Amino acid sequence: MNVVKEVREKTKKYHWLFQIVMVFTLSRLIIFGAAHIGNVMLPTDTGHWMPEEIHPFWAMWARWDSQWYKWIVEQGYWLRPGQMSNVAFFPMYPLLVDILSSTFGINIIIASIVISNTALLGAFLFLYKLALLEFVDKDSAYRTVFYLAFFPTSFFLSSMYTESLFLLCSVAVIYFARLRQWNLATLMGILASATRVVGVFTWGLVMWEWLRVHGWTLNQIHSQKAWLDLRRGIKQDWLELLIIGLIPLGLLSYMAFLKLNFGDSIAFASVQSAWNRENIGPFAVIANDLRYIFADGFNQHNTLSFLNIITFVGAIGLALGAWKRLGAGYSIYVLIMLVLPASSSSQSILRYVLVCFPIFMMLGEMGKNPKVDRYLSVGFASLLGLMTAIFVNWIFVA
Amino acid sequence: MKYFSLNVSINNLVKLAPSALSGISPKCDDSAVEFRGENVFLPPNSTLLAFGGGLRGAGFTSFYDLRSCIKMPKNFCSDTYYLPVHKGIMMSEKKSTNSFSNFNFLSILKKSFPIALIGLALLAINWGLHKRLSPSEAFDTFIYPYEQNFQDIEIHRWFSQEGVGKWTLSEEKLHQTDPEVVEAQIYVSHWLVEEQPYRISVKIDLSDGGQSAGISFNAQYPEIYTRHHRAEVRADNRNFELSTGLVTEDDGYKEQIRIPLNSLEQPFRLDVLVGDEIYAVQINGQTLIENRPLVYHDGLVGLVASGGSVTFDDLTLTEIEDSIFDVNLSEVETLPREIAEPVVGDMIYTSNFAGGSASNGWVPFSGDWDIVDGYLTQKDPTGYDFGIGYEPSIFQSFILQATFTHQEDIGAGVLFNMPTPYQTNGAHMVRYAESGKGIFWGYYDASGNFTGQGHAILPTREGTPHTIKVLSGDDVYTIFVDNQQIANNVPLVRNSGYIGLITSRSAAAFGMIDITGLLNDLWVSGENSKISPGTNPALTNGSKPEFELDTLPSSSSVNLLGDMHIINGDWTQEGLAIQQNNTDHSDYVLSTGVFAGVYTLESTITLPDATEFDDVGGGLVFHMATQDDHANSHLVRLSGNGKGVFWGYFNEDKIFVGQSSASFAESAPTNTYKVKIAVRNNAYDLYINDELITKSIPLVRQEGFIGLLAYRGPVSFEDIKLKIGGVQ
Repeated sequence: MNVVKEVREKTKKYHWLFQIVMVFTLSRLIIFGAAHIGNVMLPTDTGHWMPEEIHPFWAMWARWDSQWYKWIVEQGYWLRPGQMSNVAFFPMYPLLVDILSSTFGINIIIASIVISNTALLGAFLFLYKLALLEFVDKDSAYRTVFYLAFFPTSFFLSSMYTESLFLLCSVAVIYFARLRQWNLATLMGILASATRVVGVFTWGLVMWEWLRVHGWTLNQIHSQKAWLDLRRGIKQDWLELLIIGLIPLGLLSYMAFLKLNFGDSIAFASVQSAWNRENIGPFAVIANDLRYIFADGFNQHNTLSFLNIITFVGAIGLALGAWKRLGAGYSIYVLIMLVLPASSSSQSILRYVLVCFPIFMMLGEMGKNPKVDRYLSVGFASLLGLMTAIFVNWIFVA
Repeated sequence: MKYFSLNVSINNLVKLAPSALSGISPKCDDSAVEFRGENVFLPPNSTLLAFGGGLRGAGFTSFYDLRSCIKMPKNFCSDTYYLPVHKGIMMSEKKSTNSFSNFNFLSILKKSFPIALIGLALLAINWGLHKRLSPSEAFDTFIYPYEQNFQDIEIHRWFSQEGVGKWTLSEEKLHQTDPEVVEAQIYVSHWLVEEQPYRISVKIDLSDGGQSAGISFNAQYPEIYTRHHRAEVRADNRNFELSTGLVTEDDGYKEQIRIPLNSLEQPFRLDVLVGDEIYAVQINGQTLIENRPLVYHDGLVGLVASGGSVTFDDLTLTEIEDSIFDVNLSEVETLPREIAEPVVGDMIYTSNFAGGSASNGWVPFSGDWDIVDGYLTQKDPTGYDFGIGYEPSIFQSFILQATFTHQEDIGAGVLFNMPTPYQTNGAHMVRYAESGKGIFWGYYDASGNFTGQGHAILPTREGTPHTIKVLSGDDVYTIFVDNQQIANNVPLVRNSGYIGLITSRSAAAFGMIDITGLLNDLWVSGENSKISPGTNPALTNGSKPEFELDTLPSSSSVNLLGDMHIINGDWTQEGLAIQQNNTDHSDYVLSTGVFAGVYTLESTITLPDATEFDDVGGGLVFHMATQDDHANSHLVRLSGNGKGVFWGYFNEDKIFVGQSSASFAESAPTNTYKVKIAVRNNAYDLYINDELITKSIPLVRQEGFIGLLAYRGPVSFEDIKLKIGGVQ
């Protein structure tokens, strides 16, 4: 008994790790199971591209935009002016897939699934640590991860999409910044900005934290002392600032590549018009969607729009709540991550919300209330299975 | 900054009871606290009290394990956490961790490692981008000559805007078939050779309802749709215009120049010659626009189309020398042979000065020129040699025809082969004399001194419309006034240049300017002969061509219609005449049953008086493919009860394509005309009442059945004579 007790004592500090791995494993089992059942038993929409020479169990994780990453790995980047082009998609994820695929000689899609899920596990671990740092409450931190793992569209985190990699990078950026480990925060920020264009905003987050540490906050913007402290901090810790300033280099590296090869350093933005994306603002987008809903009822497209709107509104509400509970930095970060894409379309909000981890942190704390926890757990898990089955059958989700 | 270290360990932290802080003035000062590892640093002069306010900032709430913290009442210092401290606090002075004097090798290594990681990550990203993800299908540079006949092409590899236009391939042609589209563009996915002048050429067909089509060139990748030069032909019913301009991101299409082009035969060939700094545009090999400045250089080339159905074929790119732009483009024969073939006789410029763009390209250099009621009018009758030049293009081997009316005094005429459109120096001129007694012609030398080459007595007066027609060849020119030849084989001192109009001591209104292309080897009969004095049988010394005419075999028989085939209409024999009696407004055709290629055909045609039946016409239709209809045949026909004659051909849909026309003098003595055509292998000459109207009208069909055509009725055809062969 003593031995058992001794082992338990020794492994106690790793208990959280076990918990997170379990959440990861359980959620992925559900997702893979639901996907397989949905793929086998439900009719699949036809007329889409199909990954060749690969078992359907793996192929079902490559849908919709996954094709662009596959093309990048297979053919490299290309730009066809005025047409949808793969330069719209950032290089970090396809690069890792390419390296893994070519190094071990495995199929691109399988490599991408490995990358996505590995990154997801890492993201869960960092998210737990970050939530623990903020809440000082293991249960809230655990619930944060749990809600994200079972969020209705969390299958994207295991698919051939960049969500999980970006989530890992962005959570790690904040975590290291909170620990004042600016070098590591910068490293992860560079990777984030090479994964998605919005990754460059992690630079703002790190800067925000650095300013706060050096006595400058929004609350004290009119305080002379705050500015004096900031000046002192810049003088003393200029090297940190310099290092933090490297975060956009991930984006700049890609822009230089685009300039060199295609003569347009912002080609990823230039081609957006081919996707019929026009910035009209989130309110106009929502108003348009609601008009369609009222006009045509809840058909497939409008139902999806409705879900996106609900998610958007809920996420914005949680983001505003995070302003008080977690601080303005988290809140602004979420707003940027959601409002930017929502300014042109509500489409895919259900997916974009996955990387807005402060929302899940807020949910994690709200889950202290057993009722809330129960509703969220059951609701999320049920919808996750349904959405997964829909996704693998080529019905657009996000 | 110096720090004092609080050597506190997390395990040693103890709670500080709220009561311990009671009565202490709070200082919610974030900046007072600095965490490094497990140490908490306080600035000098900090006290425990100041430290107490510091764990909550505007951005983030807390860090480190604060389970042992206590939370103070909100009214104490709004939602503030306090880090508990050990009773036995040891405060020692500690230098800033950024102090370089404090560095040793290990600490440098420790600090450098994450930075090295950052460098490594950046290297990896860039290596991956350039080695693993670089474009595998980077498009190539053109290899000249580039020929695209749309037989074997992956059109999806070309660039076109998503959802703009519908580009398809069929019958080895490229089609734009979206009827509603505006400015559909498609680009060849090849780079132009940098700094290499080139010619891009494409055959375009707008006959199926297309509204415009053209070439985009020097398109700036990747903004190819919004930054390029463009030359396009626009169609409005059967009126065409050539427009060139510049597309910019801010302003869209900015037109540089527009030229009306009436009766442009379909399909036509559009060429753009692009140099280092300027470009020129040709239609069917005739330079219509040149010396236009280039704003964009290199890039891509493409095609642009709007509306209806537009067909493109035979796209070619060839390199040219930039020196081609140092001389007049019209003097340089660089066209492939196949391009030049269909150009003969095409109307390459025409304007009746009606509409908003009527004066485009006309540049006055003296006098008071203006568009008045659809006429280009010089209103000042006081000065000598008031002129206006047509700026956009240079012409060579052409027929210039200008119709005008003297409004005040006499003295109007035309300028041609001008070295510059901005002055008369070096130009040829044909104009009425100020005396009103005749017309004279000659040229200005480089200094502006005029040298006369001849004159003719042709009295005129104000208000009388006149048409001056000049046929300018390689070495000589010929002059017609009101369809009367007044001079021929007049030597040219310059055989290409701009055209212009002129008035001297008079005011005149110009109503119509036509320029028709004329290919030199068809200018005169005989193989490859060039026009020169004495070599043109039609023009030599004013002599008329002499033909020995035979009658049609059936024309002398009693039953003239016996061997003929009535395609439509009410054709009867009236004595030795054949008459079409249907008075409805339509074409009525009778085939003679004779098939011929080289021949002379004539007939005397009598039309009714206009007061009885107006708008009646009759003529000769020839080179019909069958005796059943007149598709793909040529036509020469009197019009308006004998006010004029026009000629052209019917296309396969029996739609008439006009080539040109001529008006007769108003005081025609009768309504009877002898119409004669002398048909050679690829062109024919037209005579009315034995007067040469025009020579070398190009044939689109070299042989076929011969027939008669009446528009409305009654029209009578007599003395139909045909001589097979013998025409040179």
